[in-house]
Amino acid sequence: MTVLEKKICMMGAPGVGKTSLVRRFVDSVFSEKYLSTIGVKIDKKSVTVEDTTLNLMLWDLQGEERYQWVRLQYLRGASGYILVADGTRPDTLEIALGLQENAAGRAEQLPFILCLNKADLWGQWGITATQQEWLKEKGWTVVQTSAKSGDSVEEAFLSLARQIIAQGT
Amino acid sequence: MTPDVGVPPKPAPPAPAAAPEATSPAAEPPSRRAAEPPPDGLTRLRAIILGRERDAIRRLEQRMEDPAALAQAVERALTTSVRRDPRPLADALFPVMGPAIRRAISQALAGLLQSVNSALEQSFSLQGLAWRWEALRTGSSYGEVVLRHTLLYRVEQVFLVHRESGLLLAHLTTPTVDAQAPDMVAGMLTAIQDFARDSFQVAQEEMLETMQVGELTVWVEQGSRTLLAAVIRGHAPVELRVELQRTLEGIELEHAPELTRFNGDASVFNRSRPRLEALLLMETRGQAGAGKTPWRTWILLTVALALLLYFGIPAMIRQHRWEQYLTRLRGEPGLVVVHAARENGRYVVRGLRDPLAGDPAAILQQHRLTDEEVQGQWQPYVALLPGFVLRRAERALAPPPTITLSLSGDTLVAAGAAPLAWFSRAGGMAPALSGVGSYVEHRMAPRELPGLAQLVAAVEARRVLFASGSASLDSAAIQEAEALAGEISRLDSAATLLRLQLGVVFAGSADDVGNEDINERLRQLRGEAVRERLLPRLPPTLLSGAATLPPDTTAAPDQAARALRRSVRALVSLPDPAAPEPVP
Ligand SMILES: Nc1nc2c(ncn2[C@@H]2O[C@H](COP(=O)(O)OP(=O)(O)O)[C@@H](O)[C@H]2O)c(=O)[nH]1
Ligand SMILES: [Mg+2]
Repeated sequence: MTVLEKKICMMGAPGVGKTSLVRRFVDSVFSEKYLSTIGVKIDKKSVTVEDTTLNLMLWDLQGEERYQWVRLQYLRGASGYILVADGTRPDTLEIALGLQENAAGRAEQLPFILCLNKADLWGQWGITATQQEWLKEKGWTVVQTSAKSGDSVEEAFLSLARQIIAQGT
Repeated sequence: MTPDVGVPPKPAPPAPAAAPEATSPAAEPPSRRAAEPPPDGLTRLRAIILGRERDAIRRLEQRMEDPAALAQAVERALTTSVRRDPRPLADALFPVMGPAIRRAISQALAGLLQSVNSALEQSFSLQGLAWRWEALRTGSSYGEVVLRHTLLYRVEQVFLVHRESGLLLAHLTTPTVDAQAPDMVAGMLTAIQDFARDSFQVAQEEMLETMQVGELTVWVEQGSRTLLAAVIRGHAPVELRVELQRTLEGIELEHAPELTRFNGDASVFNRSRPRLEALLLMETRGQAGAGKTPWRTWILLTVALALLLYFGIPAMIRQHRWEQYLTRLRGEPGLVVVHAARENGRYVVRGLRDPLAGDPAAILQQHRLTDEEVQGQWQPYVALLPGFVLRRAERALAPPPTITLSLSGDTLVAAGAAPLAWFSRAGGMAPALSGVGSYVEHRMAPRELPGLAQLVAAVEARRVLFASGSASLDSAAIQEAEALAGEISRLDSAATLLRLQLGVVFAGSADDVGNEDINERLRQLRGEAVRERLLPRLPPTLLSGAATLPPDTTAAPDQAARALRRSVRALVSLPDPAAPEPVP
């Protein structure tokens, strides 16, 4: 059994549910006050895929939209990232696409997944099935999550973990 | 899953091209020859003679032009060079290292300043006194002691963090410390670095080196790929910073390969744990000192204080009494203090003492000191102070109370009444006395002595008056007689004090009128009448007898004078002192 430490960044427009997803996924040690004070909060979650345990260090960034670009530097040393968009707000998907483009523009190609969050709000869903199909054709892993109900949250993180392991070997 | 499309085709990797060259050199020339123009004779000859060498040169040329291959060679060369002797490379790198070194020096100076400052702060406190005492006790300088104490610290946690990812590579704590989620702390440490850099817009290489939280200080050292953070309790010396740097350099060197291709496997860094443990051990040294020294210092201080109270205060009192005693001795006539000091645990006073001066031992007692505490060593001497000269004269001459000795300059004056024998002896001895230059006598009759003359006059002035032809005391006469008795008593007391024997005679007289026989009789009767009257009032030894005065043959000028002649008066006799006193 090998144990590997991995840095994962949560990226996405404000209010899409990044912090909520992390909160759902981990048992947090630190107060979320950190987010507002220094703009970053780091949480840890161990996941095991086959014979490898990954200690995922989840970096959750706080900030206004414009800072998301600046904060790309937080991707330094990351093994992957989670793009989060709010399924009820199509504009947040645009932001996620832009972020991915910027991240991909960096030297390394990092594994990532896209969470279309707030899946519990089906009635107000604003992202079309065609859009999702198009993303999957691009090779993206797209997961519909709900931080509120917990639906597919675990699965989303695990899917990223699998990608990371697959790329690492 | 990421499509490779759009990525420009890489230049042909060197390995496949080099491989056939290295493995099958024989297969190569034909293909090359095909590209070349047909050789003439000389060229062919050259190819035959130098063929192998030419190929080797060509290979070298190729290799020189290929950056990857060159890098490998240079790397190997550098490694070998450093392994053999790191100095040439260090010299070459010095211009690059200079700024870093300067930074380290300025840090060291700042650290020194810090400890000097805290030393100054402490120097007037109780703590400062305790340190001064410790310096005294251990024979080290005060500065050393202050440094030893102000630099007390312990490293409680050490984090080795991958700089880029903020992932924890190694974490160590001292046993007592309860560390909170170290891997998250590691991430936060790097995040805070970014935060600080973003917030204050400094260069990328700058970093947050120190964080202070109450008693805890976090020192962060940055290497090229890792961060080393030490959580320190107390004041760490600047040497620790150097130690952190050194440890970090050692680790980066040891793990260079793992760090370049770090995939999140932190287990390999277990190899560096001993290095990191050494940092934690630095604590022990500091702490041992911290635990013991103040304790010992306090006990010693307390003991010193107790000793001071127990021995010091009596000693202070003794010292105070001694000083007062000395002052008194110095003011005492006839005593000359020549030397006063503390010798072998007791006070010693040496000097000169006139035998007539006050007794130092008695004075010592008055000052509540014992001869255990103060030793007096007195040499006899003769003081020439007037008082002493006089007292010596009195001792030697033993004058009777009727003689008063006085000193005027160095002249000894003896005034008064004394037996002749005394005067002659005094006249002989006095000039020989030390301090006496010359000798003068004023001889007097006892009745002339200052204390007696007035009393004698008062007694002799009294007149007890009688009526013409009478020898009996009327009431006025009785009154006068009583008054006379009083005067006589006073004179007697004074004479007794001077050891003189007083004698009184009541002498009667009569006026010039009438028969002389009768008058003679009247004189007698009158004298006896007064004597009789006063006999019970006066000591009998005093009254030797009544006397009659010879008749006054002069004519009385008037009645008043005549009346005065009908009277009795007291006549005083005061003989010179008789027997000379034996000299004591
Ligand atoms: N209904 C619903 N609300 C959500 C969900 N996830 C987040 N939220 C809400 O969205 C808001 C923003 O969430 P937050 O996690 O702070 O977003 P962040 O800015 O991306 O970190 C909060 O009010 C959350 O309660 C979800 O899955 N469903
Ligand atoms: Mg948030």
